[in-house]
Amino acid sequence: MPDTLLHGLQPLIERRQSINEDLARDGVRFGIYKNGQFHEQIFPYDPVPRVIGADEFDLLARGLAQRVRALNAFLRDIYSDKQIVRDRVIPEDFIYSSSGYLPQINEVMPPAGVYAHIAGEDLVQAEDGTWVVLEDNLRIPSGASYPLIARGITRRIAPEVYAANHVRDNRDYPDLLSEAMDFCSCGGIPVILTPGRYNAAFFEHSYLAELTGAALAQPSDLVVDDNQLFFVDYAGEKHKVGVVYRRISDEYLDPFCFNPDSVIGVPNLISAYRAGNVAIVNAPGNGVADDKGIYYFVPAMVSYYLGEQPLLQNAPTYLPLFDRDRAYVLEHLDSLVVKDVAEAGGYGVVFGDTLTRDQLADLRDKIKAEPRRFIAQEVVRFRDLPSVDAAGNPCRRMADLRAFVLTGEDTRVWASGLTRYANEPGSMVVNSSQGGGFKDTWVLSR
Amino acid sequence: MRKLSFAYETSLSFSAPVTDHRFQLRCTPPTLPQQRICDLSFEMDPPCALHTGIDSFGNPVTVGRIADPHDRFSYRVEGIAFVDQGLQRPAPYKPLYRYPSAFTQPGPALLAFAEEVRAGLAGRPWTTAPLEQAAYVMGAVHDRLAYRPGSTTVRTTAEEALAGGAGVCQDFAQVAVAVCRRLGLLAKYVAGLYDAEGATHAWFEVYQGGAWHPLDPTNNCRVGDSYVKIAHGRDYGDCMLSIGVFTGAADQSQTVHAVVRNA
Repeated sequence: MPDTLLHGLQPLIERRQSINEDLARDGVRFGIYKNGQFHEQIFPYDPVPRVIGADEFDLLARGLAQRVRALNAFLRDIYSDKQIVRDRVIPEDFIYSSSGYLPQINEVMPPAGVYAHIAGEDLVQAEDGTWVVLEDNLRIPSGASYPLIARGITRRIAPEVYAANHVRDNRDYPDLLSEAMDFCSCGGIPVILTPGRYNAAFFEHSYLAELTGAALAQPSDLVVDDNQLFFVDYAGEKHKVGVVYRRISDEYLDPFCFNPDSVIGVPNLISAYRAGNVAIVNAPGNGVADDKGIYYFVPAMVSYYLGEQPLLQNAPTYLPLFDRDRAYVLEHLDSLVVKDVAEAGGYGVVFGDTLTRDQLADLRDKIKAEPRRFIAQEVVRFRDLPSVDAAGNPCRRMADLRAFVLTGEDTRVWASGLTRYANEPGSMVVNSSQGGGFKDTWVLSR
Repeated sequence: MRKLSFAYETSLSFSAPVTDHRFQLRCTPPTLPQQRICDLSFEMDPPCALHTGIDSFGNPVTVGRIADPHDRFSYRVEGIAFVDQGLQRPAPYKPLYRYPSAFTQPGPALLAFAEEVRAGLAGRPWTTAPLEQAAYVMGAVHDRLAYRPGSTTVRTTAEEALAGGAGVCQDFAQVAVAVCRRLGLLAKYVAGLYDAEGATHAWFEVYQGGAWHPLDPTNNCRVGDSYVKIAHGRDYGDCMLSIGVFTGAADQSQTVHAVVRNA
């Protein structure tokens, strides 16, 4: 997309500073823990958007919806018959030794049969234009609120930009979210459960509660009585909860079922869920499907469960657990990127071409000792996008895209997304915890 | 076949009244092919609305909440059990029980001990059946650990207990489970009651020939017809007989009493 097609972007570029200040005032920050201390940081916003054409987006959306339908089918299977393991499409080791697999909720079918109501699909666009999926985030993918609120601010500054460029409206995210929550609700109010303001995404929790009309609850506001979940309001009144969009990870969700030391969970929540009295969004146990090792098998899931050809591809990935893959990885380590399956947020990612000979030898030994712990991928040379640097000069930065795929009665892809760009020229690490920023994602209507 | 009468009672007393007490109990023995439970009664004080379900391992679970102030909390289960370990029925193969779990994750002590056991088994090439191997593991665990109440807590892992060289039935069972899994056997942790008066008990089961076979490493014997099974799972974490949280600055003391007798 030639930059010249972006009509009227100049006012936004000129006001970059004030837009960033508005975002900060609205609370658009993310928090990180460093040395045990909680820090809130500004998430820098770049006004030059990523632009995705209408036809391109339709294709992308079909591929993403297909992928998420397959992942939901996989989760239903893994927590019941495990047919995909019996049919030897996926080795059992990848299920049972995954820290995301929770036998405590085996055989519990979530209301409406949906596990991943909200999927955050991380993609990059290769230099030849092909979209490649890097990660499926099926636990608590965050980030939808950033482009939503940024669009709100820029629409006020330069409303004509969006009409002139035929940009699809992205204000339907709260509707998509509400529909997904309503569809699985077991009767009662919707609630967004936040661990509290010292959470990296607290801003997003409160923002989404406001937009969807769900009650924003902290763990102490929820109680399980008569095996049903209730929200206790400021007056002490109890309201039955039909669906809880929880922003607390599985491990801490219910101390009676998972980590008994959790003080941010809701005791007996899983018992109420098991009885079919409340829906949990996303369902517990999804970590088994977004494990970096399981990622390798997602295209196979698409054909296994849906009988369709996968429309979207993975980055070429090798599992050192398999002899042939391990031999390739050990030989080509200096050109691959190696990921530790247990790490997230850009940690545990090593580019082979940055390592010394000794470090490479070290990594080879680690891979040989614990092959299941790593995956290796070809480095996808992805497109850089036009941007403006801090001084206002045009530049180019690598960027990825987190697309949001919501599943209620059916699976739909939000016509927007979070585009994260790397802080440094040429860098491919776009994680906000590593200093990157974000930009709007425009999907064109024609 | 034996006919047993069993009773299990736990009572908590608090130094000051507590409120908003939420709890989860696994305290009622289920009817299984090898144990038929009759005349089961469950009493709770203070009385409250209870809900019973079955967890993902097949154990009956009772949950509830006492909102009002109370300074004691007790429950009592009793009933009759007809037990015959020979009536075990075929059970599906579950690879889950070959993988380490939170309490049975091996560390240096377990890895070394498992190698010792493996070497011991190598010297007994006729010991090939899983049940025989598990019985050998049981003997090794029984020899290695000293039975010493108070030397561990309910949170002690198999690795920690083994490194400390002592423990109680929970530790014996978890170490045995951890070693069996390391040897490639399918092994389950079991919580229940048996005919020694006093506390609850723990043992383990190993999978062979399409069925689970129970062994008691604390007493170094096959589990007979005087044992009443309450819960099973990967380890203690799946079989907690009771867990609760409450609001209030109170000290608590707990007494547990369990008895199994010929009826």
